[in-house]
Amino acid sequence: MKTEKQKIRSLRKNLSLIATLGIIGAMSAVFGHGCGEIGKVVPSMGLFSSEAEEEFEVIPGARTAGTLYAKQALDAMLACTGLTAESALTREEYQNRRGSLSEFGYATHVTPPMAMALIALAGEVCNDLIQIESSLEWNQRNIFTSFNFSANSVTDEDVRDASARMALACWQRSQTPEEAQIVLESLSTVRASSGAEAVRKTALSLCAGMLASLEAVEI
Amino acid sequence: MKSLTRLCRKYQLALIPFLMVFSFDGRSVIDVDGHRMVDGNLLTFGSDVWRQQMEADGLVALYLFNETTGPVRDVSGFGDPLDLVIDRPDPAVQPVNRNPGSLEIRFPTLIHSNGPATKIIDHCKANNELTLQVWLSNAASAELPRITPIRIVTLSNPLSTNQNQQSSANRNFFFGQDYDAGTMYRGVIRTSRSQSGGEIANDINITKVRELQSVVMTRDAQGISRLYVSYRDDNGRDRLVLRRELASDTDFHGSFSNWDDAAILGLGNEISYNTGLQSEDRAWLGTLYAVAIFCKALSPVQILGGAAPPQPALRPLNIDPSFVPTENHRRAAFLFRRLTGVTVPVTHPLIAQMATEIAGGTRIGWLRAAQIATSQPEFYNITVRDFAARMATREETVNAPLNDFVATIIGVVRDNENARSLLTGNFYYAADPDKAAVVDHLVDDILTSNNHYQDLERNRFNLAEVLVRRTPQSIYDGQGGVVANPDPAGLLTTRGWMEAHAVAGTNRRLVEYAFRQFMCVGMEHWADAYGPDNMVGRDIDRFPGNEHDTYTTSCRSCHSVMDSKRPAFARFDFSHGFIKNAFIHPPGDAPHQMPQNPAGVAEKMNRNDDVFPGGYVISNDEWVNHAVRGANEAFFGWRSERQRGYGVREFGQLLAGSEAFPRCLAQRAFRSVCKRDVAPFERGMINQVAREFEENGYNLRLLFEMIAVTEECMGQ
Repeated sequence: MKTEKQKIRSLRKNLSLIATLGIIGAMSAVFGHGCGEIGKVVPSMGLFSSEAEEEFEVIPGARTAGTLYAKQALDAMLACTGLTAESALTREEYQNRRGSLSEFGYATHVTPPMAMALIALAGEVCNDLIQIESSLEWNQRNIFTSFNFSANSVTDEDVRDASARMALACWQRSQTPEEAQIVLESLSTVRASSGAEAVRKTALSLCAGMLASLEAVEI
Repeated sequence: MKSLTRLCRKYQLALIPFLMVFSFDGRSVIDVDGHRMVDGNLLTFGSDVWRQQMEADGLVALYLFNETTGPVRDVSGFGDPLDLVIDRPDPAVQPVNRNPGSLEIRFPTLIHSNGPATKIIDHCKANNELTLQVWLSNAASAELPRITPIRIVTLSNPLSTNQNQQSSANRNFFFGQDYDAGTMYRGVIRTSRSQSGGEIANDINITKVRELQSVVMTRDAQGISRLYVSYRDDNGRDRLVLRRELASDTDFHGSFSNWDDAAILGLGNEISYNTGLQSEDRAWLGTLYAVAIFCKALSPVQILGGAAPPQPALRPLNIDPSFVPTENHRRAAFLFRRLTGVTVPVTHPLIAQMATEIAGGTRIGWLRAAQIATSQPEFYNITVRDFAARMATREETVNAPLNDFVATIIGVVRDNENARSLLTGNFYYAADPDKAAVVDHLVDDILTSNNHYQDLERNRFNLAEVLVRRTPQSIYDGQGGVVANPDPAGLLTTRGWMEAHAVAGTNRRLVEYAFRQFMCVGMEHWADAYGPDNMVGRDIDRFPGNEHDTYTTSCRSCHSVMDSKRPAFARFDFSHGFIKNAFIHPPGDAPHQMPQNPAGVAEKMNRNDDVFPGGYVISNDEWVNHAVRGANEAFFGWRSERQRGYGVREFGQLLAGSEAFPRCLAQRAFRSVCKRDVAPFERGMINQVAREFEENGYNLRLLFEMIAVTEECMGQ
C-alpha cells in the first residue's frame, strides 16, 4: 500500500508528463518555426557574450517575448502565490533542476527538460503554498479560499474560484470561460479519487498546472 | 614551576567562561553558562522565565560542567536528573581536568549515564524531534589513522557482546568529529526509515582545533535536518551559521519509533569503548563547556533570531476574483514584471498605484510607476543582481556566483549612488551580520575566499535588506594581517574582478574586460592598426612566423591600445586566493609574497622578455591612453583632459568620465529589462537615455526606470 508521500510523488509524475506535453504543444503552436522570426538583433551595438549569438529580428513597436530563467523562475513562482520564501525541500528541488532552466530567458530556449523542471518546481512551490494555506482561515488565504482541506471533495465552484485567483495572481489577467472549463476537466481524474487527501491533491494539481503553464512562465 | 604552570592554567581556564559570556551575541540556543537569549532578552539560567522558555523549547538534559568533583550534574530541571559518571580506565591516570564551567578530556575515557537515558529517549520518541547543542574545543583534528567518526556525544548501547552488535552500530544518535580531506563535524540520527541513521556533516575547514565553537544539530518531525556551526568574527564573537540543511534525504524521514530504549548517554567516546575492539575506540579529546539536549527541533528563527534565512510564510495578495483589469492594469503589470522579474496579481495594490500613474499618459507618470516597481526587493535580488552577474566573470552568465563585485553594484543601485564610483570608489558591499547569519570574518570569508557571499546566496537572503556599505577596500597581507588597498578603484579592485581577470596571464585581460564590461566594446572593435606601439611589451613577437607584416597588420592593432593601458594594473596580481599588491607583499614566490620584476611591479608584466628584448619594459604603473584616434575618439568620447595617468583608480576615472560609459550601462540595462540587445536603429534612444542618466547624477535605478518605459521596451 502506498504511503501518502508515494501517492503525491506518483501524482506529480503524472502531472509532470501531462504538463510537459501541454507546454511543448503550446510552444510549438505559438512559436514553432517562427521562433527565430520574433526578434532579431544585429550585433553592432550588441553586448559581447554568447547571448549575442542569438539573433532576433526586432519588430519596431513590438515587445520581445521572454521567459523566466535561472533563479528568477523560483522567485516568480513564490511571488505570484504570495509565499515569502521556499521550504528547504523546494530549495533542494530548485538546486537539482536549475541546470535545466533557461539561462537567458529567450523564448526560443524553452526545452522539454526546462518544461519538466518548471512543473517539478511548481509542484514543490504549490506544496509549500498548500501546507501554509491549509492551516489558515479562509479569509487569510490567497488562492484556496473556498477549499475545505478537511473534506473529501471540492465543488466545481471551489475549483473555478481557485483557478480564477491563480489566473489573476500568476497570469496577471482573468481566465476565460474556456480556460476555466479546461482546468475543471483536467482535474476530473484527481477529483474522482476519494480519501482525506483528495482535496489536497486537487489543489496541488490545479496550482502546479497553472503555475508551470506558458502564461505564467512568460515574462 | 609545575605548580606555577598549573596555577596559570587553572586561572586561564577559569577566565574563559568569563570571557565567553561577553562573546555571546545571543545567536545561539544557550551560551556556555546556560543563559538563553530570546527576542533580545537575556534569560538567566535557572530563573523562572528561563525555566518556562526551556520547557517550551523541549529541554530534557543540560550539562554545564560547573562541578569539579563527583558526577557531572544534569541541571535542566526537567524530570529526574540524568547525571553522568566519569570512567577512569587507568586508575593511575586522571583522564579529565575539571574546572568550574568546563571539563577537559585529556585521555580516552567515557562520561556516561548510569543506565538508559530514559527521559531523553521517551520524550524524543514522543515528539520525533531532536536538538543537540554542544559548546566545545577540539584538542586535535580527527585525522587518520583514527577510526572515525569519533564520538563527542552519543546515545547508544551494545545490543550484545557479539562484535557486530557493539554500541557503535546501535546508536539512536551521535554527534562527533570526522575526517575526509579535512576535519568536520558529523551527526547521525536513527529514524524508522534508516536503522543506521541519516547523516549530516559540514564542509571541511569549518571545524576548529583548540578554539571555542558551538555546534547545533536539529531534526524536525518533517524529516528536515540542520547543522549549525559557529565561527569567530573579527570582534571575537562566536556566531552560529547554518552550514547544512537536508530536506529530501529520506534517511532522515520517519519517526524515532525504532530507538533503543536501553541506550546510554555518553560523552567523549563510544559506550562500548572498553571492549578492546578497535571499532569501538572512538575517543574524543578536548574540552566541553555545555551540552544541551532538547526533544523539539528548534527552528532557524529560534536559533538565529532576526538573522535567520527567510522562512516560508504567506503574504496577503488581496485577490478579488470579480476584478476586471483595465488596459492600464495590464500595462502596469507588464512594467512591474519586466523591472522586478516576478509577477504579482493584477489586483495587487501596487499594480493599482502603477495603473493610476500610467493613466495620465505622461512620461512622468510612467516613470513614477516604474519607481514603484524599483522599490521592490525583487528588483535588486533579481534584475540588478543578474545585470551585475553578467559583468562579473569571463563567462558573462547570470549563473555567476554572488560575490563582492555583484553585491557592490546592487548596493550602489539601492543607495542611489553615482555609478561612476563603481570604477573609482574606495568601498564595497557586504552583509550586515546582525541581519544575515553568514560567515563574516574579513580575512577568511571575504578577502581570501567567497564564503561570505556564497552563504548569502545559498540561504537566499534579501540582498536589498542585508547589504551594507563598507570602507575601505582592504587587501590581505598573507601573514594574518589586513592592509588598506593603496589603489582602490571600485569594482576594478574587488576580489571577484581580480579573481576573474588577474589570475596568471599578463594583466592584459584586466584591460580587455574593463572595456568589454564598462564600455561595451570588444577588443576587435577598438583595435587600432596605426596606433603607436612604443608601449607594446617584450613578450609580443614583432616577427611572428618571420613576417613583420603579420605584426604590423594584426598584432599591433590590439596591443598598441591595450598594452599602453596595461601598466595601470602593474602593481596587482591574484594568487593563493587573494589579491596581491607590490606595495604590500614582498618579492618572492611564497604564499605571502608576490613575484616582482622589477621591484614594485608584478613579474608577470615583464615576462617572456626574450621574445623581443627591444619592447617596452614596465617599471611603474604609469599608463597612456592610445585609443584616441579616428573612430575610437568618436566612440569613446573621452572627456578627461589627461589621457595618461597612474594606477587603477585613474584608469577607472578615464573610463567613468567617457561618453561610452553611460551609454554602455544604458545598453546593459536595456538587455536586462527588455530581454534583447539594442537594435542599430534604436541607437538614438540609447544616446538620449544615456544623456539623461548623466544629467541625473549617474543614478542607475533611474536608468532602469527610464529604459523600462521606452516604447522600444514596452512596445506600442
